[in-house]
Amino acid sequence: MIVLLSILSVVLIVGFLISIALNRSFWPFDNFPMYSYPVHKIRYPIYNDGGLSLFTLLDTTTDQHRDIIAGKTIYSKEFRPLDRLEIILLLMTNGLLSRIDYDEENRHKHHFRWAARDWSTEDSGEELEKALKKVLTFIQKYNPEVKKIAIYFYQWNDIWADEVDPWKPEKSEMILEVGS
Amino acid sequence: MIEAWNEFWFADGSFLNLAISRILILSYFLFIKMNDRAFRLEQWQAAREHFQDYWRKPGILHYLGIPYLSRGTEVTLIWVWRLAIFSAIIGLLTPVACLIAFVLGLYLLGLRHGLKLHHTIVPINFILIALALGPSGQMYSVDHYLGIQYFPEEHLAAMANWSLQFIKVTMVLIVFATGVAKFRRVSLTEGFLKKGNLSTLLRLHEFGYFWVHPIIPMGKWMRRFPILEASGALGTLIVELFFPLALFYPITQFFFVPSFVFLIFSFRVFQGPRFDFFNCILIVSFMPWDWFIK
Repeated sequence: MIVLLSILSVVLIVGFLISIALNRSFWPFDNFPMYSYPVHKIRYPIYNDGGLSLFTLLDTTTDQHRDIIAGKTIYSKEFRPLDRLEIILLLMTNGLLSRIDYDEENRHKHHFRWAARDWSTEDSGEELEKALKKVLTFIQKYNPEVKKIAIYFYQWNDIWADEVDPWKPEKSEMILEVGS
Repeated sequence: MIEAWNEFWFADGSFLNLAISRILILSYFLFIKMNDRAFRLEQWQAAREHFQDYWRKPGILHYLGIPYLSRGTEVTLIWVWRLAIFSAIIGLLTPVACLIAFVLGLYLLGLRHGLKLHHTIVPINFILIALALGPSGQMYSVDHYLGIQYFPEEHLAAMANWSLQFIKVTMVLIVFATGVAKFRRVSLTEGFLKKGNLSTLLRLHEFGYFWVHPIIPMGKWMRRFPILEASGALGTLIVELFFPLALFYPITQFFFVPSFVFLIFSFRVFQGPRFDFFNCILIVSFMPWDWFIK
């Protein structure tokens, strides 16, 4: 029995040390990287030199567009049990980043490329639409009244400015809209 | 070396501390953590099926080639898993219940990580195996009331110590991992210790589209007081990196455990994320209950 327990102890320690050393998760072993990246290298949302860029989803069924990502809690009722980050990551790894206009003057250009460094973000024009439609049909399970949704790209130029409203972006741009 | 190993893992342990750890940690997990909307396993199953083209199998399920089970089978297993944890809490067939919960948990909780890994529940499977292979039902249990004994009498105290140490080592490795992850990205020009990093991190959480939000926003305030930011970042890193000392020099646990508990509390208040289950395990497993209860 003592030998068996000792082996388990070794497995526990070695499993975690491998995960830590390789900086990878081998669930249930984990490297716990939460909040360890420098802020300007967090893959999402993208922060650079005071500016912040992120995506959101709007219910565009009616003219009164409703944000279905933002909220006090991470779990929007439309996505349960998924959280908003999971929905955005799903879209980001399926072509969303390739839809951003990488204007040379755009301060976020390099950081989007950095964020996309090890993701399959190539979009032949169909992946993002397919993924977004999947999100729409998922939402409709809980809220059949949602008929159209759109991805919006939001930017704040300076998050430290006094007049900044954390709930209202300074720039917004529609990336893609799908309907059922 | 072997002597030190045996002394660390197999000295005489406290049945009382282990029993209280079993009851409090598993109760918190089953009645509080699993009632969080993030852990409704039946909904995870539906989400997985809907997003099956994008769903990735986590670690052990992938490497062992464990297939996804049918909806009916999963629903049955979810209830068996919950019942097993409840049985472990009341101490009925304790080791068997913990073992069943451990095996089923590897699969069921793995379903939670299909689109991204959720870190907060990682310790539970290690805790269940620790409770399964130790005399965790030796006190405050139905097993004890019925006089059921699962392990040889002569090894009981050593096994109780192993179980408690296994839980503590799990938590120490987790805290240490968080420190290493931050430290490996520290350089002269960037990283967790760089001026402006922590205050920006706090400020970002104040935006409506971030994943969690602080109770008390203080990003801007911290930016105005760099000494506060520097001490916060450095203090966090020191506590996380040196936390293993709490295992080898028990006196230091009176500094490291409350410090980390305070850090987790601060993360929730000033930043937003909840790591409450970590706090529960740390407090319960490191607390010398036998000092207070005779």
